[in-house]
Amino acid sequence: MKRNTSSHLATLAIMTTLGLVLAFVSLWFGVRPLPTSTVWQALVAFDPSNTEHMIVHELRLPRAMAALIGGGALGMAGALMQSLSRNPLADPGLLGVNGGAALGVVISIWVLGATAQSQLVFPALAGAGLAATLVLLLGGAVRPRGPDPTRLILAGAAVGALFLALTWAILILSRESLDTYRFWVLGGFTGITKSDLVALLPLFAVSLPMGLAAAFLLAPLILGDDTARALGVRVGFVRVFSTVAIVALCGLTVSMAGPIAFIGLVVPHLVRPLLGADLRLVAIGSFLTGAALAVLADILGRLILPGQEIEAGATMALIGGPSLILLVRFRREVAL
Amino acid sequence: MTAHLTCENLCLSYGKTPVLTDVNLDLVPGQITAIVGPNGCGKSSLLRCLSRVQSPTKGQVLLDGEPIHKQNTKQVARKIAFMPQSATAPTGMRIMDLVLRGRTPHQSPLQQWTSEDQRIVERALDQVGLTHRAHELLEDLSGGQLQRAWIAMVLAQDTEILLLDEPTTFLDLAHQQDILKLVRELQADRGLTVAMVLHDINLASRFTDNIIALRDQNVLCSGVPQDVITEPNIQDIYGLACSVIADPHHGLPHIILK
Amino acid sequence: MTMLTLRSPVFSFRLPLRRVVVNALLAALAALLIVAGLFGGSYPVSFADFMAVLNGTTDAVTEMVVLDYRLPRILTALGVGLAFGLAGEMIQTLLRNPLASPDIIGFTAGAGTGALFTVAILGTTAFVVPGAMFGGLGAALIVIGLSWRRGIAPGQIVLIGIGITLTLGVIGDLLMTRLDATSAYELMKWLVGSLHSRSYADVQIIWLGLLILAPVAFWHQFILARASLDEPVALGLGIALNRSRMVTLGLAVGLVAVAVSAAGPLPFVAFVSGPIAHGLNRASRPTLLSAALVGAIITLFADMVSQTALSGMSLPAGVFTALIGAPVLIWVLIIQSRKNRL
Repeated sequence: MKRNTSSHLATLAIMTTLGLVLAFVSLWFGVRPLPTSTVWQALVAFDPSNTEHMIVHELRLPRAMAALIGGGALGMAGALMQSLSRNPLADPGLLGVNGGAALGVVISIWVLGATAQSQLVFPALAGAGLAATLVLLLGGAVRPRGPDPTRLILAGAAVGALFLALTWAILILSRESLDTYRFWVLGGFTGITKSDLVALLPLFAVSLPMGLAAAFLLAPLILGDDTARALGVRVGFVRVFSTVAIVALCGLTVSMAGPIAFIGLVVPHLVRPLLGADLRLVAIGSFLTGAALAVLADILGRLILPGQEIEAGATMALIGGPSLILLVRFRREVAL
Repeated sequence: MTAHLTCENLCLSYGKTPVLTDVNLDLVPGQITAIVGPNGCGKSSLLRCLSRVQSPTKGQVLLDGEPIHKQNTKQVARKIAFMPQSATAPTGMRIMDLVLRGRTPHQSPLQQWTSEDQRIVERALDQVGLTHRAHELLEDLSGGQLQRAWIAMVLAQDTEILLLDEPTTFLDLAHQQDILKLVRELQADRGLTVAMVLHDINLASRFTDNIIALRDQNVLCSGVPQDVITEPNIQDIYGLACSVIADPHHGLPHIILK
Repeated sequence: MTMLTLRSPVFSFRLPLRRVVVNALLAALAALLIVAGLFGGSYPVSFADFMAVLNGTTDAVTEMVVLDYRLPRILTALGVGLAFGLAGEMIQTLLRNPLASPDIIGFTAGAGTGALFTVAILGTTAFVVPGAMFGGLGAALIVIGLSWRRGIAPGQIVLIGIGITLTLGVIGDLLMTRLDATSAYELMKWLVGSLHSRSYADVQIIWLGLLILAPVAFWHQFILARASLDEPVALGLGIALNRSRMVTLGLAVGLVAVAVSAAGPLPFVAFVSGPIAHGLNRASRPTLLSAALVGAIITLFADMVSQTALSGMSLPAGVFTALIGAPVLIWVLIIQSRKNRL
């Protein structure tokens, strides 16, 4: 199953093209159908006085870009997470960031009366950050040998549940929170504005390279801690760094778009048969495939029910759940 | 009378990959048989089929003339004990717990610690030399101690047939000797039938009555060590050139690689 | 490791002394919580009052507080906690995965979606429990059916369970956004799980279920402990693995079903009881009795907290089972990793 570098490069190029093409296609769809030529014009010859150009620039382009970046971040985080925990079922959501973000969201609705999606971004980020810090501390990141993967997952589950319980408590205390929360929790790129995206981009610009670096650092750990140490790898540092990268990627995405299930869990499994076991390639491939998949979900959500939009996060899970089952059923031995 | 295990036209494939094709063999009751062969030749799969842990694709395994898969599995477990390769135990288990698990086919939800259980478990622990470590956690043991704990579990099953998959892995020279001597003693004292996968031909020659050599999913040759361990056979089995000499202590065939 | 040997012609057991002590302490703690729940609270009842209630010689208010309000509530909490604890420990032992819980076989997600469907379609919250039972059992059957591969394959259950749970969860979330605000709020409370205003109907459901299922579960513990060894080892010991797995799953689904129909999902009880019991006993799993008692303690305690500390806020017990369960799990985790010097 050894393939040469050029075929890997070709695969990556196809994934990139697919993502970009889908992103372009997603610019067509919306409440107001726009012809391809107008979309193209808006991109290459922007005219601020043209309403249709403004729609593309202010709404659809940020949305498509958010889907690309968010989906990519989740895909990459998933690949890192599965490698870090040596558990093919590990989902970056296990690190508790989603619970933290949810708590941030409901607190900001309850206390500050926030309702618009863009008002929820930074509370969500704060909550995700708090949850992530707790998970890292409890997961043993401060110990000299770095976090123990199993303990990290258990700590993530426990912290996630703790924050979820607090979220429920607030939801029951304040009906207004529930009214906003039940839409936020579906996860999607619908309400993202240009200014949200601009505010979050610098953070993504830091954490995506971190994720890539983590992939390079984690790759030797696949052979086991002892072998890695013998090769001169500082295992503890690598673990802490990778965990921070994963948490940053997921935390940013959940703040931007709400919880989006499944991409982190399944994308690495889609990518591995194409690119092999090298984590560095898998992480890049997962970024590209995750991006394409998120955009696809965003498009499909606009098409499934005529006249209604289903949020990308929900669409993702609706497609993802059954396809995971099909994958499990029809491949003889799923190496999950 | 001791139990008799044979197989007829045994075929096994995982998906489309054939693992065993038309294997016929007869474990001589009351004797020790070694199964040898190169990696991936189906030794472990053969043992798994013989122990009814794996259902064959075609053919059957007969225990005392009856198809083994049609017999009550608990009754079979009283006659055959099987030790798989590199088994893992749930966390939190102690040696004693593991060895006591071997008594399962003789137990029931109400009878979990009869004096018979206690006597046999203590004997098994003594036989592998773990009596003083009985209360240690399995995760604290060295590879060799763990291997002996698993062997004790199989011994506690108190069966007439023992099927052991590489019982000497992880063991140092002294413990390899101890385990194989123990198997020999059990066979001599209680007339046990033993079949085990071994990698070391010289140990097989020294401690077994029969050797079955597998190659390419089938039995290449079988018989007493003197018949199987010959220069042409080793060449056929492993593709290795060697000399066979009589070992100076026992006069048994001993291979020296070229 | 002191061991106790119990022998008679009909039975023989080998019990670690530690397990006996742990179980006794857990039972005592549960009893203490029951007593506190019955006699304490905003309307204190003395033991004499209580006896008088049982004899039918007391004032109407005390009788109402004890018989109509506290007793059914505490009996439900106790039964539901025991059931979740048992089910969680059985599933985690079967799947050999401390992260598994009855949620993994899809029951909870199915129950939630079923409940939401009845409200979304019928427009009333009156049929939430039957809808939840239908959805929960349906989802569990789908998960088990899809993971059937010449027998139940535990590895498949986890994966397929995740798939089904994800899908049902999102369908539930979507339905939630299609409900009006009031129904959504009512359902939210049910989905969290509550012990508020339990009736004797709830008591009957849970205790009848326990009476039938718990003895089978304890009888099955012998097989379960051996079926959780590696597959070839268990088969070699003469365990009928497939039958054992079906029995385990059937018992767990049954226990969760009666518990959910009596009190809603009560998150985290099933998930956390097993690991805590395991940590306390320092023995290999399953330790069914300890897990059941831990489940009961968490539920009783959550119920007590939900009534007393924040009574003005009227939070359901389900919020507190998670708030109590999560830190306890973290604590067990830290103790274990210190011991193992990880």
